[in-house]
Amino acid sequence: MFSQSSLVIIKLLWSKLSKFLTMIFRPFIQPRFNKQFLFVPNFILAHTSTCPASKPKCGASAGKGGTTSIKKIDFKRAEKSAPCRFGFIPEEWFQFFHSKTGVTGPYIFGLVFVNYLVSKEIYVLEHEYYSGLSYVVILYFISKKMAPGIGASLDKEVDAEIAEWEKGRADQMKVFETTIKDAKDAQWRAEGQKILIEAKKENVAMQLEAVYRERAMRLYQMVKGRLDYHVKKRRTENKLHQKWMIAWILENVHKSITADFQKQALNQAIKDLALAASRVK
Amino acid sequence: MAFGDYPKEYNPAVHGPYDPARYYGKPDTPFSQLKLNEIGSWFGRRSKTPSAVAGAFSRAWWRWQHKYVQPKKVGMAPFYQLLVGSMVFFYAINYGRIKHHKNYKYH
Repeated sequence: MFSQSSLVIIKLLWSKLSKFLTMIFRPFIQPRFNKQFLFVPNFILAHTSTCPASKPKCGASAGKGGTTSIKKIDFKRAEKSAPCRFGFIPEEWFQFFHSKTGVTGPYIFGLVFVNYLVSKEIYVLEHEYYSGLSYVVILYFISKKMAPGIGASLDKEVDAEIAEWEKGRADQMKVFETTIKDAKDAQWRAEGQKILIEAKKENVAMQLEAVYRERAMRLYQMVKGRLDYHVKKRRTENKLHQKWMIAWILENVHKSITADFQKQALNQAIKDLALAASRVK
Repeated sequence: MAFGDYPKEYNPAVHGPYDPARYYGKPDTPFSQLKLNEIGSWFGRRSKTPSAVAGAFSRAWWRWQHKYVQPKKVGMAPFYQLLVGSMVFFYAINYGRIKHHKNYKYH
């Protein structure tokens, strides 16, 4: 209902107001009071010096998880009320006599005691007695007839209420357990996230590597291309030079072959041929 | 000590949850285990302030309650016991009037 900060402010204002009221109502207030956490005036709910709220709580001195020093509740709620005879006389009174007088002892004692009271008229049998006797008889018959039925239905109601409380507690435990399980689940998922992020990082690294290699290859191709161009250019120029040189040489040679030289060359060739032909024969 | 306070000697860290049927004072022999000649000294040791007497009655009442009223499934026993107890008590306080209704003069 109240937020944390507004609660703090309210506590502060209340402490101031309570100090003021203490001054005014000093004669009506207990001499010592401790921390107040309820919104009621001090002089109604002042803790006295003996109030256990000021003493150390159960298990406060035990520390963390010290179940050995925390006092457990050593009395338990009984299932049924203690056994009685005749509906109201406690069983223990019968046991009290048993060692000395056996089983009939308490009945004899009861009879004798009642006899004494009636005969000495300490218990006067006046009209109250007769009306009481009628009541006893009526009660006896009513209880004989209706007790089991009423008892069973009331028992069922008690069991239902206990079961309801237990169920509430069990449900709350289940809620807590599912909360714990979900929290553990969330932790497991978070760890999975870590692995996922590692995988993503790996992915990105691979992509970077791929791009780097692609660019390195491209660089190589570029450089090679340029070098190839130079080589091709050189070779082409060389070819051109050769071609033109050959052509120029041939042209000059052809120019230098005069008609005279040609005639001489022809005659020489005929002589050589005749020589060769004579040799063959 | 105001009305409704816990006994001075009760300490939740030592005794655990409060049991109204239990005596939290200085440990002493229980009344049922006393010998007859010790009864006087036993009474001498106990505190006899009004609040202590009231505490004794309260503890007795709570002991009876723990045994017959507080269990989960309770029969008619506590009602009958209260009925008989109140019958006896009221007969006792009215005896002065009732004894004049005697039927016989000589017993």
